[in-house]
Amino acid sequence: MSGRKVKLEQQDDHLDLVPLIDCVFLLLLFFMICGRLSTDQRTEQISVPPTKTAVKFDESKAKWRREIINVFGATQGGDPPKHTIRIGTTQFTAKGPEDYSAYQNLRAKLDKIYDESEKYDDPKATQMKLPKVIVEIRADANTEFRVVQEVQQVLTDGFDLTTMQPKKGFDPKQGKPFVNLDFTTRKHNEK
Amino acid sequence: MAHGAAGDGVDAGRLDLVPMIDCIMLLLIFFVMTTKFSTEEKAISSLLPTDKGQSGPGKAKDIKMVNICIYPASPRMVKGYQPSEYAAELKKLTNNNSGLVIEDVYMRVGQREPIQINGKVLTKKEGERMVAEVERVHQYLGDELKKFENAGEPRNKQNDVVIHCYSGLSWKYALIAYDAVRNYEGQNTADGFKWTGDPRELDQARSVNFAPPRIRNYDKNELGNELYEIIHMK
Repeated sequence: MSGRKVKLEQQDDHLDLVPLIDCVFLLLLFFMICGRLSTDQRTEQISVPPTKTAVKFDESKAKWRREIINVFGATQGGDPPKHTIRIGTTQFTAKGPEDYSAYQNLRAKLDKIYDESEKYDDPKATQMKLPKVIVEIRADANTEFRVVQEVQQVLTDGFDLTTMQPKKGFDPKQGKPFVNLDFTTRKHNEK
Repeated sequence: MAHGAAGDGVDAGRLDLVPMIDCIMLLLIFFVMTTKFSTEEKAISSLLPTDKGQSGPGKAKDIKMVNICIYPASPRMVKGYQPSEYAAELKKLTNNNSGLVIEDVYMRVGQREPIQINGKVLTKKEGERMVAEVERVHQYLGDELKKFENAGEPRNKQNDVVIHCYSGLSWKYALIAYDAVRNYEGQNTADGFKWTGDPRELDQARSVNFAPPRIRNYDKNELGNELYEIIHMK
């Protein structure tokens, strides 16, 4: 950068705009990149568990809508243990096992996705209408099993999210379930 | 950029390095921000049941199941103790609920002998040790599931597999069990069925599900009950 100093001394009758232009370009680049990252659903530094049967999702073949739910946070013990759920660019954090607000917010978001999606009849003849949506649960390897399983319960829409107990007198035909899941993982022998 | 034009006229006898440095800095920033060092992510498919259990019309009693139980490993995490004793042992293992992660777990099929899994090696940096540990779990579950085969039945008529994991353990243990069952199913499909990742294929496959966390069935002071149920499960 000593070149600039020399130039400043030589051109003291001019206002040197070059450093300003440099800074502007850098800032522009920074915001362009950050803007892109904020819409990327896989930005969280999540270490997913290893598995043997995992397959690469072929985006070109997948005609169904794909929604990614990131699940992460210090959920193992702690005081209080907490976890974060992120769907799309919206993020919800729960303060502990007894805080169901993140599940409630997630369900509200899922209801909207269900309403927008194309549906098909459940092949098991339950008369349920299932959305053509694959929900990918991208959970950190060390997230508590409780949280990942409760996210699955939220997806079934069969649970009262104020008590985390099955809904009483609930007719599944009236629900908005998501049943097609993918768990994000990585190959166990990948170098 | 603007540097080049300004610099050429000022220092005719010297090579102006400023534009080059600028470009290099910009390229450096670009690559630092866009390069991903994480491993490529893949997926393993699952289908939540619509015709059984809590969200279905109540056929749960007719279903025969193979239970895979996963719980913390310790000499006192065996049958024969009371829920309060399991709770006390758990407290010890987590250093009085200080957030210590339990890394040694037992995995058991039905009432068979469990294997102990070392969760510390289930990270990428462990390399071959991790591969060996995953293979060991697959071998164990494959051998045990063979004993529950219903000969002649198609895969989707085999007994359902339910994974019961202690709610405070890491998700990775439950997923490895799920992976091992799916691998076993892939090996036992006569027509050479290969998993392509399409969730609809799971309608033709054996049902494998995760049991709801029992933490919701009890008061927060009764966590030993959850362990008691899983350890004594048949």
